[in-house]
Amino acid sequence: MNRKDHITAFYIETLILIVVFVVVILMLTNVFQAARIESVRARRLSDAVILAGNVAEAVSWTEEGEDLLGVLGGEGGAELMPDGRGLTVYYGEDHQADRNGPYMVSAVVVSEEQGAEAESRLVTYEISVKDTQRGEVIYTLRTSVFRKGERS
Amino acid sequence: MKQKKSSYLGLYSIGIALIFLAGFFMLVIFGAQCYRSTVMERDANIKTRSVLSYLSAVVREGDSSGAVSVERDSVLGDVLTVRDGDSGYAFKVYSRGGKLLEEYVPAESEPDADSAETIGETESFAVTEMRGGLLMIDTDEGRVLIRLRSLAGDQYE
Repeated sequence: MNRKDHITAFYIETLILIVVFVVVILMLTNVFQAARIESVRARRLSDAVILAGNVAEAVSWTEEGEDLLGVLGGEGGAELMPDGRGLTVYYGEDHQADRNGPYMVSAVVVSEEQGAEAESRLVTYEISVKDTQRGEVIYTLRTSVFRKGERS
Repeated sequence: MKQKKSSYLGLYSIGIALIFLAGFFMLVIFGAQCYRSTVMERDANIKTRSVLSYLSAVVREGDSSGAVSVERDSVLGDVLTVRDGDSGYAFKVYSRGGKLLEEYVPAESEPDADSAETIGETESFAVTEMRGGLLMIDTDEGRVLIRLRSLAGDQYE
């Protein structure tokens, strides 16, 4: 093998090495980015669980719209649905009511059954937390509440 | 001519080595930034979960008639007291010095922050008892609502 062949082989080996190096960098970059995305997703899920839990506790406490808005919405972060069968609350990253926040929590009555006692009802709510920026549902839960008396 | 070719080859080798070096540095810097960001998210997640989930758990566990109460201390502010059945002892939860503290002491005793355990960090700790048995606890990590099932019957009376 003469000198020219040696040089050519060197160039080819180096180019292959560069290609492999670039591929490894791209793979590792993807791994780091995926880890960061998963971390953000985990925190958002935790926030969603807490917010959904709070709304579940509130709707089990009362079905009076004004009372619900008072404990959940603060200043302008919550609104009742027009048909009166649910509400929507917007929260920021700090769990404070914020119409421009990334979390939209909605509680909707999905069923209302006659209870075992007279004038009693079993009301089932579906509470879902949605990411307002991505438009995807982060967390959903269902809760049932036993209520005495007719719906006001 | 031979010398020129040698110098070109040398320069080429140095250039390749510099490219590798730059690539390694960029990878390390990017990786470190991602790691820092991931750890920050994880820490924020842990702080929020530990404080709010703990408060919810301790109240629910002790949710029996008359067991959960809120006292106002002149120094500590709101003190959440959850009696432990008929034992005469109670969990007392409050905030002092930016920390959420808990102690398990006789129910009638005064809170002693020096002997309390640290649960998490929060400058603010406010407990509001709504009519009908809804407890509203506000901390730096957010708000947790807990409906006291032991008082649920009061709502419709």
